[in-house]
Amino acid sequence: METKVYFPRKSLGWFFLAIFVFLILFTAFSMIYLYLTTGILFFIIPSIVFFGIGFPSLIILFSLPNMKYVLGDENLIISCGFLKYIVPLSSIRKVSKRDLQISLWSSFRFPGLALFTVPYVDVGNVKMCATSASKGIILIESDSGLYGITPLDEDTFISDLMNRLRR
Amino acid sequence: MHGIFVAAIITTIISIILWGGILYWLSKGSKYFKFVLITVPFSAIVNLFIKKPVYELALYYFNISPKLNVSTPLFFLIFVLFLSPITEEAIKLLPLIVGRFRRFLSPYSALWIGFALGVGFGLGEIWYLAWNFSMVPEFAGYPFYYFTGFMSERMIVVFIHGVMTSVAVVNLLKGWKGGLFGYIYAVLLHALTNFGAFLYQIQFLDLTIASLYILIPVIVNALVFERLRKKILISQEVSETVYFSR
Repeated sequence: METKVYFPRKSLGWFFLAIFVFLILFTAFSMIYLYLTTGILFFIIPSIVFFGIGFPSLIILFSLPNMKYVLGDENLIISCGFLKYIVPLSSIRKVSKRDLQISLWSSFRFPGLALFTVPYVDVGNVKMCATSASKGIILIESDSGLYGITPLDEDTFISDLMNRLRR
Repeated sequence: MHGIFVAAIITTIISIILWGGILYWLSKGSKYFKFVLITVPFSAIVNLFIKKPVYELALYYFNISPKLNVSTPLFFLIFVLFLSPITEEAIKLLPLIVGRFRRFLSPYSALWIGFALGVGFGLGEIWYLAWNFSMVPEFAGYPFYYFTGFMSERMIVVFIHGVMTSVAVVNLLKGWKGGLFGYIYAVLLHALTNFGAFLYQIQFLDLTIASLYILIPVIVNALVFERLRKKILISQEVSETVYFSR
């Protein structure tokens, strides 16, 4: 069977991430400005922390259009920029769709976007690469963990995945 | 307007957005908002009519100086540490004596009713404390941004009040033994939350360390809250479409 590429459904997650990146980098540059005008070395420490969060987030923001799910004969590759999960089809135990219950713990999660490992109250940690934080998540349970995705053409993706899993 | 009142307005708005948002989003609706309104005046009531007279009576009866420090008798320090938790956790549960409110209680709603009652109490406490600060002459000319410590601490404490009351209300459903356990659990969480400020009050810790201490009760209360939510979610049926299973 040929390799097929599926893209995630549309969301405003990029907008919320953009606001987050702006606020973080604005704060970081403000700290640098404060250091340059006052000479107080203390301002350098929070600016390093904010740059450390802001720049990787900026890279993720620019890589959002590349979020995709590649379905091959042997693997499902879930990727978004430098985030990449390879799920061997033989290791998949369960595929389902459900709403998840978000937790209060910090993670890379915005309205309309969830990336990396996100803790949920009901199912525990999920490796997310999705344009929804909790609604209508396709959960893929495999030997290497639980993955959450949100393909745009969900019916086609599911039927394609089922065909490959049942072979 | 006094700077502390501007700070109180900002703190109230942000707290309502944050914790009201959590209540609305996680409980899926606004049906618990009425419980927030009930407990708003309770902080002033418990402070002025219960805590203050009891505290002053105890000072007078045991002939103890109101300036507390590490040399104050231990029994009195324990009394001071537990006075707020015992009285405040009790008054937050008071609305549930009324049958009309109690009939809303169910294994699912108890968590959110408790959270709403606690958040309401916390919002009222912002204004009770602001009123107290406004009467201190040294703070008279300060602009609102001098009270950022007050603002950030109060915002967090509103959430903590919500969690503590949730613990008590969820356990109320298990009968009087469960209710008592929940109340004691809430009192201990409250005492843990106040412990940093208490050590500062008796001049054992300086203000910076006492302020940082708030991180401990925040983490503990968030853990407790998530555990309670997990218990509720496990007991509920989940709508799930299974496409494949082996």
